Amino acid sequence: MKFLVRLATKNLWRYGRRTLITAAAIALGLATYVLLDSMLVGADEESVRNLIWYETGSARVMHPDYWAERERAPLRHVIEDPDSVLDALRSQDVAATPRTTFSGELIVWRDPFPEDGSLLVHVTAIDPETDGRVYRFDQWITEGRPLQAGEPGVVLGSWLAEDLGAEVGYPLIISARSRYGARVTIDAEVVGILNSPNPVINRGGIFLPLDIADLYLDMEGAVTQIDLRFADYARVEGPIAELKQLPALRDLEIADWRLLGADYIAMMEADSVGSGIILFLVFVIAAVGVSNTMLMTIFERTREIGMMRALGMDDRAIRNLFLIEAAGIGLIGAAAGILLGALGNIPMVRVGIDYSAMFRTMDAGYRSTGVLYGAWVPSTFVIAALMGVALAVIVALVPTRRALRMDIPRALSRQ
Amino acid sequence: MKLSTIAFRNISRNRRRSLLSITAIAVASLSITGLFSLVEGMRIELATNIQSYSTGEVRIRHADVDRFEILNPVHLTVQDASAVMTILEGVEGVAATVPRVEFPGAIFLDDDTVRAVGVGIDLERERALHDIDARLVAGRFAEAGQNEAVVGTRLARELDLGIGERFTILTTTALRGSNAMTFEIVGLIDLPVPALAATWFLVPIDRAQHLMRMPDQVSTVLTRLESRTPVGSAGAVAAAAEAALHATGHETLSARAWNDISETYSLIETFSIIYDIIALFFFVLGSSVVINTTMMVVYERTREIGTLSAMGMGGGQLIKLFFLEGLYLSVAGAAVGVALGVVLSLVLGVTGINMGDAISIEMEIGTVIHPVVNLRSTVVVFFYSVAVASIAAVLPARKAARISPVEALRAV
Amino acid sequence: MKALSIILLALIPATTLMAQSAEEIITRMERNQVHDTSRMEGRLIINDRFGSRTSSFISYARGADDALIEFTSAGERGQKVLRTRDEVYLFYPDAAELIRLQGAALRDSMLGSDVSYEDMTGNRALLDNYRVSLDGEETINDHPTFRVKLEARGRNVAYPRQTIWVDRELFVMRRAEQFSANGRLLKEVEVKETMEVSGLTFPSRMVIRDVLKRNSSTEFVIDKAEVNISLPRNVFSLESLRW
Repeated sequence: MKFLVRLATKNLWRYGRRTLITAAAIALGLATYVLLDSMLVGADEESVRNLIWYETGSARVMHPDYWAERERAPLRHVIEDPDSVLDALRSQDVAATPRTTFSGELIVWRDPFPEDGSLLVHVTAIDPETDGRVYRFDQWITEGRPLQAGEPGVVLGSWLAEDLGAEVGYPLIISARSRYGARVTIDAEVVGILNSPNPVINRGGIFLPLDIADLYLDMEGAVTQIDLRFADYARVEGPIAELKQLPALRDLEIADWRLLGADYIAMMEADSVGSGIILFLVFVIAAVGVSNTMLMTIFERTREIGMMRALGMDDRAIRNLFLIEAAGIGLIGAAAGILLGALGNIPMVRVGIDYSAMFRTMDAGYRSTGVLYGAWVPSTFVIAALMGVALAVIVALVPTRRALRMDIPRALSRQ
Repeated sequence: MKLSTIAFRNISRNRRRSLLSITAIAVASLSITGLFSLVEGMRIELATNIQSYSTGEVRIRHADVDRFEILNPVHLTVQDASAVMTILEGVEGVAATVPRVEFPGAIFLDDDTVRAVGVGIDLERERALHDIDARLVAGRFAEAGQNEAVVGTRLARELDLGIGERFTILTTTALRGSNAMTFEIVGLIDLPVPALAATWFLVPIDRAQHLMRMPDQVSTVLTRLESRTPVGSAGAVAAAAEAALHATGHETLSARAWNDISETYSLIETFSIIYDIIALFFFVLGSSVVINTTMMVVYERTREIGTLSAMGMGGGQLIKLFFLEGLYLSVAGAAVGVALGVVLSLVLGVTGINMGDAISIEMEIGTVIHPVVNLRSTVVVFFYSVAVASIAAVLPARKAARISPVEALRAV
Repeated sequence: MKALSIILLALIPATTLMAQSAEEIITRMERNQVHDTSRMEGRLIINDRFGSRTSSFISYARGADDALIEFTSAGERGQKVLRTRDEVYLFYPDAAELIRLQGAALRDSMLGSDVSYEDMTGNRALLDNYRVSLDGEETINDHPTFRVKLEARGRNVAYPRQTIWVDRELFVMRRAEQFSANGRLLKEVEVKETMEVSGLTFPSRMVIRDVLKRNSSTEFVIDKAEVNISLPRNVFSLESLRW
């Protein structure tokens, strides 16, 4: 066996060019596969991140009856004592921020706005102090500044602002109902405009400081939700199960982002079918490329196989030799492919592909904006490398066996 | 002996090698052709859906609708609809006009309210625009004069109602009052756009006009153009239609070509860009497969090159020989690949690829994608494959031609 | 009983009115405006940024809670709105079932006017819902009035604050303003004309403005009224909606 390995290595070296081309085929196939997968996963991951970072958090604590009525954003089912919940969460080192979502009418008047108008909206009241622990808005405020506690300011999504003709400093009115049903109006000023990577927020986001909402809506400290962020959004079941044990959260419900963004997740899963088709096609081309070169390498050596057999080498040893060579080529190709893929992936992840077409009108669709970033998917690298080696070996098996079945003179006469 | 004859002989002599080269080229061109057809299918589907369900090829509606869109301006209607349609049918290039009355409203269930959009249609005229009959999955279409509705499959599921059951929709009329009507479900329709399947139900246009208080008024007139009208001239027809309408006293109306309506246009653009990126990956990989295989073949034949040059064949001739071999192989491979790709696309074009029920809820792309062969891109793929393979054959041949015959002969 | 109170009212000398408490002013106003039973014919003229339109109606009312409105104009002929203490039912001739409005749906505007269905249900006796206080006197459209401030007793009252100007002599509303909890003016009601039927004076033409929505106003005109008449039985029942 040791001898075979040595011989295989020598052969690989001897047929340097052949080795190089076959390995290159494997490497290119792998690199393409890895990069395309990176792009597709990157698009999905970015969408999930944008969902979590701007819309849902990792999970949400709310009144058990709230979810069923969320479309109407009722103030009936609230968390009465958010502080005790927040304390309990703090004791578990869970990042959390209270929010209140309410429905109302946004009213703007001509001068400074271009048109009088009113719009039925959902307003999100956030705690400016703690919201950043769960969400990441502040860096995306492209005009004006973030909200400040105690001031009746409003931050608007950029597309909504554009539709309304709103600019920083413009006054607007939010007409709503208090928790008990009384009509309230909040006179507020646009302090910032938010242009986030999340189109849903850009299209409909209206944010207000929580203490202002609390005061006007007669909430008496209650909030509609407490949003959480876990270290790893992919693993939420465990932390949620633990949190459910806390006495302060016993009567409340905790929903994870998969439920909160269910419509969207369903869409993404269907999308991954399309990604699957594309990746499969790439795999097919790469496999054909690899098997082609591999087949040719071995066919070309039919004569050599005849020679070895004539010299009395036993068939199993010859087959093993060729398989080891194939594995060697596979390894070189896989290593090169992964290196190439990794090098190519660095700019994909860092810089991305900027296609900045207008995503604006793709209504509530992909949560993504103009730049497509890659992602690091270690499992893809491992799987791709294994596939590369396995494919090389399996493809080598066929022509080797065929050559071994030939009688020696015929094999020797082959060119 | 002529070089081309030698080239042919070389190819047929080493059949297995040639077959491998052809396979590589064929698979590469097959998958690129297939991918292009897939993308083309999605593009056409997108355009067709936009035309069939939202804009027609030229859309006529009240000019102020856009401006007041967020205020639900149902009262901004197309007045004297029958006269307007007659005028439009007289416009050069217009083949058919399709009136619609759209009424967003609320369906009150026991505990819940479901938002839905009713669409009053003239079935005969709809048929001129798209194959609406193929979409009906159960029951029949609503009869004119009857309070009957054909409901989108997803909406029916959400309402939890089936054929024979009734629902009542409350809506705002064109007089900006309110009105409600009860419809009996007589059919289910599978609209290709999930967003529509989840909100739309179709009723006879006369009932919609009665409900909406829109006598001889419609919300939109969609038009289909003569099929011989060149692509891209929808804008010209729209301009002519608008001029004709304004000249006859219908100044409030505007006519827009479907691809001139910004939201639809950018949708198509975005799709194209994403799929072009993916196509690029395929091109690179496909090319690499072709280059690899061809180079391999030529290197394997270094000895042969030595023999040939020892026999006195010049470098230029050698290169030409290998180029010709590469060319023949690649023509064969590309032809086979493209042909297979076209056949596969045509077959899938008929059967469709089901992308699942939940795809892109709000995108105007259906759940089943039918690839469409695009002649231009197919031809491009063919010539591209041929060019890449031939050039790939020449490069190593050039190098081989430069080495001395002795050295070349020594190569294994 | 009612007749007696009207006579008493007429006998009270104007000077003693000054000493009246706000409660009495409101009570007397309601006595004028809220009828045991009534049948009225009128029009609703709705103006908004897109123009003006008129709907005519016949209404039946009993006390502060029950009312039935039947529209007679072409656009909404045959439509009916039934208001009971807590609910609003809508009847449409083309609909096989009644639409029952509850919760948030009550906040929708009626026929796109400046009046919501909730405004219609919220009319019950003001003194039950509000603490009232006399805030001064003022002349509105040449009519001397008392200015009465209303503060909601509970937190669930739609308009937490109101000001009503009540005619000093006729005890009819001349003007009203409704405010949000934090004091922004939401709606104003201006009484342009009044009508006297069977000794009761009540507004017969008023303009209601949703102040938040500019360019919009709803004019409410009563052309013909009969009060304290006997109404057919079951007028305010669901069956009546399907006459």
